[in-house]
Amino acid sequence: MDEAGLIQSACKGDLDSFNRLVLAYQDIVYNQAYRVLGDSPAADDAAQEAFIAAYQNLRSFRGGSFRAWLLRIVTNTCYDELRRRKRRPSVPLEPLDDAGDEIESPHWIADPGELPEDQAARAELGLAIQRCLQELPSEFRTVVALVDVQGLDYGEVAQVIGKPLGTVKSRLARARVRLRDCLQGFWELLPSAYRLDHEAQ
Amino acid sequence: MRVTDRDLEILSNYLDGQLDNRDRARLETRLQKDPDLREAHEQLNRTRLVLRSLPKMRAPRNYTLSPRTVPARTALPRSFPVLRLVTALASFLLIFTLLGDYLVFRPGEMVSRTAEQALEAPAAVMEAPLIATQALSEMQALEAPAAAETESPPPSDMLEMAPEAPREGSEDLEQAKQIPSIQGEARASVTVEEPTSSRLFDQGAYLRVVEVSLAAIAILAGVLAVYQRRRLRLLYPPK
Repeated sequence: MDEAGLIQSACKGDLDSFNRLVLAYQDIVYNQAYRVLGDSPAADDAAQEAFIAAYQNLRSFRGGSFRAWLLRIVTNTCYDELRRRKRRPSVPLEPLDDAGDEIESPHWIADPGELPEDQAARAELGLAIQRCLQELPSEFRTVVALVDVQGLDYGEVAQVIGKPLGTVKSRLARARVRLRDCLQGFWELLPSAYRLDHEAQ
Repeated sequence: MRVTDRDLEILSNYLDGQLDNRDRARLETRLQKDPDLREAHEQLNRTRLVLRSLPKMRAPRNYTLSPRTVPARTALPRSFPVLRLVTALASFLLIFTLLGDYLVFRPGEMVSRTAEQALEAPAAVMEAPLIATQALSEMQALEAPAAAETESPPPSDMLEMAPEAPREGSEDLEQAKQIPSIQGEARASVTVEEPTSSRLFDQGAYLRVVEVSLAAIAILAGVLAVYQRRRLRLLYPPK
């Protein structure tokens, strides 16, 4: 059954149809939650909450991009979580090794197909990017995650954040500039393909 | 040349292919001439590529829903929004009516108005005989020279004035004739005021009925709506 048919069935209360939509979009939804919130357990909760909210409010879906609609719900769920954190700040639990020191490159980021040194570099870079993302204001982070991580076009992003196209463009540009400044110290971790010509030489 | 924020935004749009042909051509010309702009372009492009190279994370589990996790509970009865709307409307109308009631039938104003009416009515009755006696005395004063005029012939200049005297006298007479009617009006004004105040009282009573009815509707619909929601939460408590 196509997406529109599944949505229609789910609107009538068919949970199986909705679950097929969940399976199709759960990675995108989780990814967005992870990039905005910056930690896995919170992203997991946000993704689950978003799907429950989506099912409960499916009748309010007025057509268009279902992916953008879902991403809007998960983005709002993440904003709620960030507001809650601001009201009740807590110290995150970093993974610790046997000696009790923080592990900077947890195993779940590793790609088993890579060489150990590449793995380490990639993991470091991944962490650096995520840290820089976390330093951005949440509205900039959302836009850059939607465009550069999720690969949405500007129109869809405007639909997700409920702002005009001009806002999307300016937020994205400012987010990229801030990330460029933040990542200055990590360029040596980049694979050679991403290095500038004079750096490669 | 210094790269401005506007330049960086144009570069960002350029990287995503969001510029039209004219702007793109203009930027490409500038990129060839301006090394600072070129450097900024390269750095932004690299940042964009690095972000796009981030691995797509897989969801750690399936988020499929079961009837237990998301039952049909969320569907509130169809009457719920209607009750909510009725509560809101009745409350709004009640506030509106109370405000109007307060502005039109202010308690202080009502007391002073009825007191004024009570004072005005006897005063009108008292004034009427006073006007009557005044008019009569004026008439008598006028009649005396008129009698003298008939006994002795008036001087020529007085003859010219003569026709005016009886005229004034006749006006006073007419005024005197009007006295009973003034008294009547005074009485009438007393009798007219009474129905006005009673009409105000009737309107006030009518408004009270409307206010009580609106309050009853608002409370009843509100309580029913709250009951529907609470019942749902009791049956299916949120996680």
